Amino acid sequence: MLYSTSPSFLLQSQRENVAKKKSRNVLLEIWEAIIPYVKASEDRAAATLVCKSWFQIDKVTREHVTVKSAYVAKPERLFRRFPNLRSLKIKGMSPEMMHHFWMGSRDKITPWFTEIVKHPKIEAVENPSQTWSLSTLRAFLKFEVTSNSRSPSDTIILLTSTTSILGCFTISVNHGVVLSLEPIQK
Amino acid sequence: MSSTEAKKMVVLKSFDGVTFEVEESVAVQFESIRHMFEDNLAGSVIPLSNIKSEILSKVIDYCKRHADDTTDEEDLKAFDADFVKVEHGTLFDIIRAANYLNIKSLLDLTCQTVADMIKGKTPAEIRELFNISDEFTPEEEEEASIITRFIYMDRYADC
Repeated sequence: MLYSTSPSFLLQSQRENVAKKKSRNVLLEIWEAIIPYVKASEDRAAATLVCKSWFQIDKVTREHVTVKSAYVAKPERLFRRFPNLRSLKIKGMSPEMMHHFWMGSRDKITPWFTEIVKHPKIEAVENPSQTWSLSTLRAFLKFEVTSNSRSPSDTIILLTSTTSILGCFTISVNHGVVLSLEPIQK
Repeated sequence: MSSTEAKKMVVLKSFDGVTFEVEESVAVQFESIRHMFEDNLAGSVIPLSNIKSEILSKVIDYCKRHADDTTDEEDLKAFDADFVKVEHGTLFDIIRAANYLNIKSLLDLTCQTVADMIKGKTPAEIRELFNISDEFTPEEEEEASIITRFIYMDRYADC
């Protein structure tokens, strides 16, 4: 009864809307396939700004990101925006920040580690301005992982400096406890 | 695959009802429907309800060429280069089909072709090229641009 009294033009426009939506979804599907092939930084940045749907596609398809400033970016927002990150380069983690970390003011770095260990997809973390020794990293992760209830299985962390790769480690975590931290032979 | 099986045929039916008979050696490249003819369904018609006959024939052509071991590398490259010299609409339809059928090499070829068209262009030029209308408002664009430029940056920038 309700439908029979609806004006026919409404149904027509509804039909058109459905068709429009359908063709839009088809296009989205196509661009979702294409955009991961846009690799160069400037091109990817341009693609992000083409339209709203490309901006959205960039979010879900992006696997690598460089964070220009560890101070400005909020790690939990970064992972919410790019849920499929596989590698991450964090810039602007100064020795000063590390100092603060050890002196008890951990509010700047802690969120990064908390978020990183929550995301098993992350394979590489690069920090060009910093040389992290294995023992520093171990200490970091013990602290961070134990304070985190979720348990990613094997996380691989690639530690690099601007000039060389310091090491690649497999970290086994079980119920928030670091079981082992093994350097991977290259 | 053994030589006795090489001649097995598979029948595909397009969205507009046209049927194509292809050798199994060609059809195995269609990853996503592979199980359908491998599960002993040989002889039955496999419907591809979202691919037009015009596009399906192109895709089959491509797979035939790539299944043929006798074609040499140079010829194949020339064929690929020619294959993507089509209108945007057709290219997108092929991408959609390749995506649906999960043909990795065809997807690589066609998507890379479009990605190359984007190379070095500004957002406005890209919009014009592909006739994209779903634009940002100026405020939204400003915000997106700030986030992209000042906080995040793709890692390839340093490579």
